[in-house]
Amino acid sequence: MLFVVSLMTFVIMWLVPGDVSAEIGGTDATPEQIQQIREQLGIDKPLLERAVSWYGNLLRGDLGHSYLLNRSVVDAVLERLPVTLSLAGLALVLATIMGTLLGIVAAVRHNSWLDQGSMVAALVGLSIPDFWFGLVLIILFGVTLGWLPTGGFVPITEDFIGWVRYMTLPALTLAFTQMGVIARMTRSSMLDVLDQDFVRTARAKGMRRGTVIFKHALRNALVPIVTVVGVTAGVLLSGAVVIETVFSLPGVGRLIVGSIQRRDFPVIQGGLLVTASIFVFVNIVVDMLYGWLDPRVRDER
Amino acid sequence: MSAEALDIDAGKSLRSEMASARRRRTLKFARELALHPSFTIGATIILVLALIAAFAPWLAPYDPNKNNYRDVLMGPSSTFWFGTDGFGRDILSRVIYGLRVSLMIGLVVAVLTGIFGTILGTAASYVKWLDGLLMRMLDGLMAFPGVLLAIALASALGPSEMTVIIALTVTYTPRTARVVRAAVLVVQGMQYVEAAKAVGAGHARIIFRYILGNALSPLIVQMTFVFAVSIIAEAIMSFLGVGPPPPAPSLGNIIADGRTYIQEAWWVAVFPGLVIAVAVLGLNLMGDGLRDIIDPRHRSER
Amino acid sequence: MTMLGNKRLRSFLRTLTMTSVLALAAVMPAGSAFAQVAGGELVVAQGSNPPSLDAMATSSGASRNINMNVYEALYGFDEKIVPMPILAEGVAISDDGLTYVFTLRQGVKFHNGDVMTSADVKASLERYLKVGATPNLEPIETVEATGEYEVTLKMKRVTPTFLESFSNPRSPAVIIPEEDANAEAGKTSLVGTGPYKITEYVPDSHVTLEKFADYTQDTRYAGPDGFGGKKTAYFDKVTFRIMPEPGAQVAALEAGEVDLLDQIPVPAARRLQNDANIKLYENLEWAFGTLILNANDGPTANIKFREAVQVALNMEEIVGIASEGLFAPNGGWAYPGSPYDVGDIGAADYYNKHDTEKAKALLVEAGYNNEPFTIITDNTIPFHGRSAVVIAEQLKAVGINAVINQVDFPTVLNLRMQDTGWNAWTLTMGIEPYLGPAAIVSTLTGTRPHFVAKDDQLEALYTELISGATQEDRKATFAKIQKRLYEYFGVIKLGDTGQMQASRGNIEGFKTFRFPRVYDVWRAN
Repeated sequence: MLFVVSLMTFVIMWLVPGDVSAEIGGTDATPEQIQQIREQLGIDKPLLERAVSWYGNLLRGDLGHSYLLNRSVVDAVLERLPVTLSLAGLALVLATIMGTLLGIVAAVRHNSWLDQGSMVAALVGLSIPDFWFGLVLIILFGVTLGWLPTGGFVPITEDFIGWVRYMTLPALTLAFTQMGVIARMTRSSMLDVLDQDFVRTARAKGMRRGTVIFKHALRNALVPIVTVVGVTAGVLLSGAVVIETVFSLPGVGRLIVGSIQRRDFPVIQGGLLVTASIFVFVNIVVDMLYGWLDPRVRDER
Repeated sequence: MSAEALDIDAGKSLRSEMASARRRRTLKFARELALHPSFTIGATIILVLALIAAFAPWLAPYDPNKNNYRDVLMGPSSTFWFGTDGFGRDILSRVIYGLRVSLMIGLVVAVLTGIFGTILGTAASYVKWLDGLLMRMLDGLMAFPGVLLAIALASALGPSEMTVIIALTVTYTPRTARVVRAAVLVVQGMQYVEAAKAVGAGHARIIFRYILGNALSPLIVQMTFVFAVSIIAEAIMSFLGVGPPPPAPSLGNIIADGRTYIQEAWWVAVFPGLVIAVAVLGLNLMGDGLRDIIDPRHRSER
Repeated sequence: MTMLGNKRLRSFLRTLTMTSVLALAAVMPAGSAFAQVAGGELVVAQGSNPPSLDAMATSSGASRNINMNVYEALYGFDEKIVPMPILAEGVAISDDGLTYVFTLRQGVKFHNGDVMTSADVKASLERYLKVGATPNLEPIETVEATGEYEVTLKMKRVTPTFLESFSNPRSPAVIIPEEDANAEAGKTSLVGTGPYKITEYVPDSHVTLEKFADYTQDTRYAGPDGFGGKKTAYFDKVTFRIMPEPGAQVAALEAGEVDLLDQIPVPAARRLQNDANIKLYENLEWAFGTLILNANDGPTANIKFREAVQVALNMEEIVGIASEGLFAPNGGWAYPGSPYDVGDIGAADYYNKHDTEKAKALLVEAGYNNEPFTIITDNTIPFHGRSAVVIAEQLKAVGINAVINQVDFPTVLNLRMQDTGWNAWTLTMGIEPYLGPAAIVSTLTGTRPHFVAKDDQLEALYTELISGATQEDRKATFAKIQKRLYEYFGVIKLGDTGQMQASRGNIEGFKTFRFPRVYDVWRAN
């Protein structure tokens, strides 16, 4: 799977016209200067040769060196990772909380106006372009109310409160676009579970409604929700590109987009490999959680 | 009568029985659709929007690409109901024409992912040795952020509607293929498919008549959602500068253009934004309705 | 003066000019009623990353914005665009014009604490000849350190305009320590001699500068002047934040998180013009908007077709929309009132004519048969894309099959280097008109003129221009060049476009220039 991703990056390199020499040389570089830059960086060699040497280096754990950023690809990606992980992680938490709540409310008050209202609210997030929503939040909370900063990043290790303040708006924006999926999934799996015998039995035995919902129904409904969360994690990583641009965050998404625009190929390859690895990792975790949560899978062991 | 003839007869009667069952189901399905509230609302919304898009040249009050330096960034008024943009172009006319482009992109992507998803999903579930390989490749594609693919494609081919369509199709096909594969795997084990195999129906026949026929419902639901997501994705691609190129309007590129003036000229981004929201809402309601009806578990609750 | 068709814009700009004057009044150096305040932090926002902080190896404006506060050269332009000594005491040029002896200022310290000597200068200039992003120093044959504070350049040939090229800020010939002599492009220690030093660069986030405590002021001058003069750092720290979204930049300025915007969208400036917390600065002579035609391929290979394009265009509408109203229509190839302004020679009959009938007649004459007219443009600089859209609409109106191909900037640079496959390219020339005629004409001549097919007459005129002994000679030649440009139609001048900057109301001393000078700027108490 990661191999497919790395192959895709070579397809991109082969597709995309122009190379980094334009960025280094500027508008009025002479053809000789451009040739010199290309030789220096080894991008005058055929793609196949570059691919072979790239995979060779990869086996030794070397992702190469950025043409433009003056650091190794590993460093370039690692220094950005906290930003994107903060963003995607916090967004995932927010989306899960808001989505599950909306979903539970909708399921419990099935076919009421609360049900319809929650589902429309969930849909609104899916129906608004995130960049636009982000800018509106900036103006509202950053300028008009002045509660939160308009953009930028503070590492969590330096200042926790600052980190929360700086991450709230971007994470909220990103979460807003994803909570709808989780809300709908929660609703439908909750409806399934609420209808099942053991829940009815529990209620018949006189257990309180809230207890039933949270102890029995939600626990069982978690299985499909966790699956959705796994898929969402991947979406959040690529959605981060837009949010990072709007909120001026130095994340991996902007690193990769910028590298495509500037043709900094080693960073594109390394960056994509790392994000794809995270995606794979998250899905492995999801599979494990799935096994742990689903009584059927658990009992088989 | 020989045993063989008996078998054939049995096959025939089985087939005709199934055909009539399908007809009955189709009728019932149509009736339920018409009665399902969210499907009806969603379908009405989409129908209205589709009609507006189709009759754009008659409905738009102005040429959507006509610049007018004297009327730059005018607010909504009786002359320009939705105001004008930074080029002095009428937003209402641009939204009407933009709806055309956005719906077209969404529809084409939905149909293409439907086709490729079906081919890949069926191949994976039907041809055992292909399954692992194909699924790993599709997982790889899923791990590859679609936005980045779009940016790369746009640099390679130049931005165009075609680029947007290709990038979105590549991005959403894996998920559709998974849906089809799952549906086919369920159907494959069912008795009537086993029966058809037993009576010696050819692979092509089994795939087209029995398996796909039954994978169709989840596929259509999935396509509705792809349609909706594509409309939003088009806007995001426009934001990143790789959407449908100027001067032709799409809902996404109007919003992307207007984002710089959110505080000075809110109307540039808000009106096309509302139309996108309504369109996506309509498609989702349609999809939800379809799923409710198709999925018997949900049906029982209604 | 600005000419605007739009009434609202016109009144807006009038108020704006007044605010600028007020802002200027506050700037008056020594002796003004406003006391300079030392300390604190200045936050500047700009849209893109500096591709490199190695000043001599890049010609990017985003890099220049930062680098010119950090590095200095021997010579640079003063406010009137005349070379002035900065790190040099002066220069003696031999009578034959082949030897330049530069004497250096003594005791100038680098950020690393070392004192600048001729060895550093020799190393820097030799490095420029290897990695410099422009061929400005190309006439140099050898660089010799002929004393601890003296450097002698031997020239390959007589070049009357050498000192101008040497002072060129495009990729400035800055002086860096000898230790960086062999550093590859972009891999220096980032040490310079300027009033600020670079302490941190996080791409896509920020560049942090810190006041250089041991900065050696140039006491020959009273205050800052162009790229040189007596520079005083008031802020202890200056942060350049990289914020790609213009809307987010404006929000950050309004929220007080950013003190200075390198560029503010004009509609936002219009909204904030009466806001006491915001100051606006406009520079109408920021760049030339141009449309370059490929004289080598397709319909544009035909000179009659190119003439048709020229007469069809309504420049006021193109530049008005593309610049969002901050512009001056000008068909000349120099800013009005600048030393090389030759008026509307050539332009009078062709500029801003929007003559549909004549354009159609010329198209017939050219035998134009609806071949596509492909305009390449980028999505990085808003002016480029916007002007392409308006141009395409206007050309469609006269019957030209105009198609826009909007791609990212590296792709545009790649496409325009092809001899075929494109017909027009929208480009703003910022630094060239600032530097003067030779810089503009050099892009239109030589091995690879912008319009691909070279024009022999223009080539001859360029040689005449750069060998002109006096400014009158050169100006006379330039008049011929401008006339020739309106005969060849290889490049179309659209108009002059402005730049709008903004700061918080309590920022004092800031003056708009080719880069944001963060020295001699302070925050009022």
